[in-house]
Amino acid sequence: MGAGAAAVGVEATEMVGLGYRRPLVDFIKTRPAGVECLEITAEHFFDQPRSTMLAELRRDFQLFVHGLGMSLGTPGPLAPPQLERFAQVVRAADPAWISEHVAFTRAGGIDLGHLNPVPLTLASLQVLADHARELQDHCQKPLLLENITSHLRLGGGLSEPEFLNRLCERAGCGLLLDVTNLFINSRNHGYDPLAWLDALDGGRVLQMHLVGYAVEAGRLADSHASPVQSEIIDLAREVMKRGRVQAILLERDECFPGPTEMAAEMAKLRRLWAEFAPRDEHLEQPMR
Amino acid sequence: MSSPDAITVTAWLLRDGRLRDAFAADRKAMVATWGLDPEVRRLVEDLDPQQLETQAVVLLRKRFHRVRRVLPITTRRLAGEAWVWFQRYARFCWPMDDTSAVTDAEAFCAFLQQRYPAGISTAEVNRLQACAASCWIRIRWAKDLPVAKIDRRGVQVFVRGLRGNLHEWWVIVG
Repeated sequence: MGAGAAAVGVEATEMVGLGYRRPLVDFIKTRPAGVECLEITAEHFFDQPRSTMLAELRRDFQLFVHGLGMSLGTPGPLAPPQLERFAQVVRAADPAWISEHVAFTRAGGIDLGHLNPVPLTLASLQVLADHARELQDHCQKPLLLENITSHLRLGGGLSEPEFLNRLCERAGCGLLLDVTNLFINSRNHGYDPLAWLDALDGGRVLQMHLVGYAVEAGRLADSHASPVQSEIIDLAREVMKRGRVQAILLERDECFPGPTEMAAEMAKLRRLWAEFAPRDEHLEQPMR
Repeated sequence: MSSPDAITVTAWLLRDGRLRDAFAADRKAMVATWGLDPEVRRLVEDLDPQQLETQAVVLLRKRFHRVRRVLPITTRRLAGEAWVWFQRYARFCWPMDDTSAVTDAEAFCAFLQQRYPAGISTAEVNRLQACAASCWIRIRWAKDLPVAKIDRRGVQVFVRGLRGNLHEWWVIVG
């Protein structure tokens, strides 16, 4: 078990999977090779936490529960109804871990409907750490926090890797490293992603998100609609050299290709594992 | 009353195009009006107006994609100008209490009604209003019911089922 995994109390899994999306249901039902785990979006199941479909997914796959709207970065209390709905989905899915974002979506009575960056200050770090602990305690599951893509950079005195290191230590959580987001931000804001990784506590990274990026008006964008480019795979490889990633998820949200191309995308992720974690064939079944 | 934190001020700027324009024109003057703590003031003054605008456009795009799903015919009518029209509306209008796509789409149609009524699908607006209404039955006239790619005049009848789902029938008259 990696040091990072031990720090957040999860078992080693070493899995490849994808984000559960309705257009991919038929592909997922075929139990394609290389799809060992699914990441469900908590908010998509708020109205039906005990659905038959969720029970079937839990039976057939290792699940992870990923939140979009908890707005952990917003000062003030977490919304109790949303917290409880999130927890209900977690109880129904029984995931290995849950995840949310180092971001805010709501503030001052305004719902911005999208993830936005937080200032890299000690005050902001404490807000996130407190909310992260609250979410973990309420759901009784380990939490991973994900880096976001943002065209807006807020200052604050800490570098982003330093902020994330301190946050994970204070909150007792791990990291979900979105490699595509890191790549996009590094290109749009002009910094070296490898130096960023060197400054990060790689042992905290337990999961990666990968997906292809788009180019819009001369800037990179996280469209979640393209095949994973080779430079994303290269950066993912650098992440894996620095830690003990347990799960790699393809996070495709739009322009879903056919089953052949989806299988090819999953194969890219499996090849990454093959470089770092030679698989025993008789251990193909995921640990539950 | 405590002064606003940096997250709240950032949210103000991201949701309001007029505020961003004023901020870009004179950051210090704008920030001085908000009564911010010194650390928050420094953070906000350091925000890059161009980065703010780019991030705000990302948020507007998300709203546009949601509204487009609710108004497919109207956005098709607007064609290549749909995103331009939406920005003209959405840059200065952010739903506060109800952030649903239906509310946003209704407000967008109200905006188009004032400035470019030819771009609106009456049938779609009737459907939106029926979705938002709580009555069991609603009957509305429409001049552009899409039948075999031709706009036909007729009556839309909306009936809300026992489970709250909306059913729709058309009576074509011309």
